[in-house]
Amino acid sequence: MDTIENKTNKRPLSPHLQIYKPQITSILSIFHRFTGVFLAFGLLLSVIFVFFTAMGEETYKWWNCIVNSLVGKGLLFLWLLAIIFHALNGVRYFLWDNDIGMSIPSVKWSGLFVCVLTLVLTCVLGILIWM
Amino acid sequence: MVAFNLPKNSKVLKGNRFKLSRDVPNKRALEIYRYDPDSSNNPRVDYFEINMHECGPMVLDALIYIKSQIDSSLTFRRSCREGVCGSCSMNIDGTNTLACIKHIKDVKGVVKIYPLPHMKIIKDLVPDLSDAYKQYASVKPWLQSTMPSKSEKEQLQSPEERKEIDGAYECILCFCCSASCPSYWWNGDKYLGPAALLQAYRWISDSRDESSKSRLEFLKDSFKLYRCHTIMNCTNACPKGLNPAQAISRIKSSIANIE
Repeated sequence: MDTIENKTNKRPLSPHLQIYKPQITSILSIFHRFTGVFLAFGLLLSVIFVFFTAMGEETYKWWNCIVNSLVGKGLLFLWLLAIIFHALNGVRYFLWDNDIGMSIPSVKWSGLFVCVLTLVLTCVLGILIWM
Repeated sequence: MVAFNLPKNSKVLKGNRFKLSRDVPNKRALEIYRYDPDSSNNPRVDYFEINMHECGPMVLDALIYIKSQIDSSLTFRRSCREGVCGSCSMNIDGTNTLACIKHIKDVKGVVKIYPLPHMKIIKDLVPDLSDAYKQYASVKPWLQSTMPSKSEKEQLQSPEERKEIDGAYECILCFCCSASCPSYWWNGDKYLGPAALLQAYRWISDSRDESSKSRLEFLKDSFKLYRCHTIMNCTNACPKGLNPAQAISRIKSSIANIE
């Protein structure tokens, strides 16, 4: 026979991530965190860039080669996307902390606005930088 | 702690199928999470088909219909059937809400019904809410005032002061919000969650309460309050249209302002 304690300990955990429908609220929140982590790595690389530049022409050229490769450009484009999204979405957090735009319609509207603006700005800046 | 996967004993298996004959014109299909504590089996998802001519319009009606006509062992909480008691909170069609005010016709395809997410399950759709209730009790959800003993008169509140608690006192403690919050999923043992924090705010903003300062002191904790990262799933889920995220944000700025 199962004791009551035994039964209580055996209780299963109900499904969570597996079943919860993606919400614009939580998707943008996790994306904010991902881009934050991604940008932290980018910062590390920009320090390496400064370091390589200070080392002299040879290393600078070598680094330039990497940055101008397809992979390098792709990564830089992703970082551009990340910094624009993170900055724009950060404004939402700033407003929320001041009790502005916290109703669900505002949250959805501003979320969508940030996504669209991120794409537009990233494309425009990407064209300006690389074209 | 963050664990994206379910523990071994919680993996959901395929369950029984209760199908109707093909020529029933107006039928709907439901998938319902089942767990029987008296067996040693894992939870499962049962599949039911019901005739909508014999069943009311709400998800709760469907659950009651299944319990009375198809499988009497189906277990769920319900009481008022009109969205004021908060008993039938569960995850329907991927979001937390009350079964009694969720229209079946608002769900496309198979109606998927699970208990509130990331909870210990007692049976079927019944989660163990003891921890959530303990967290609710920890915010001391009652009026703290020494005034009445000093004066003979009742404590009056102006209409403006009374307005301050609008949107906070209406909470029915269904815990749809807390169970929708990823932060509460990962740190539910230490983070109080939106439901308890909304109630904390309800007393902090009550002009008659004299303990707002000690209430804020209690909440000033990196886990109890500041695990809220303004994800806003709570407000998105609340079946009563309340805004726990805003209440939490106001608690945060009150704490910032007393320092």
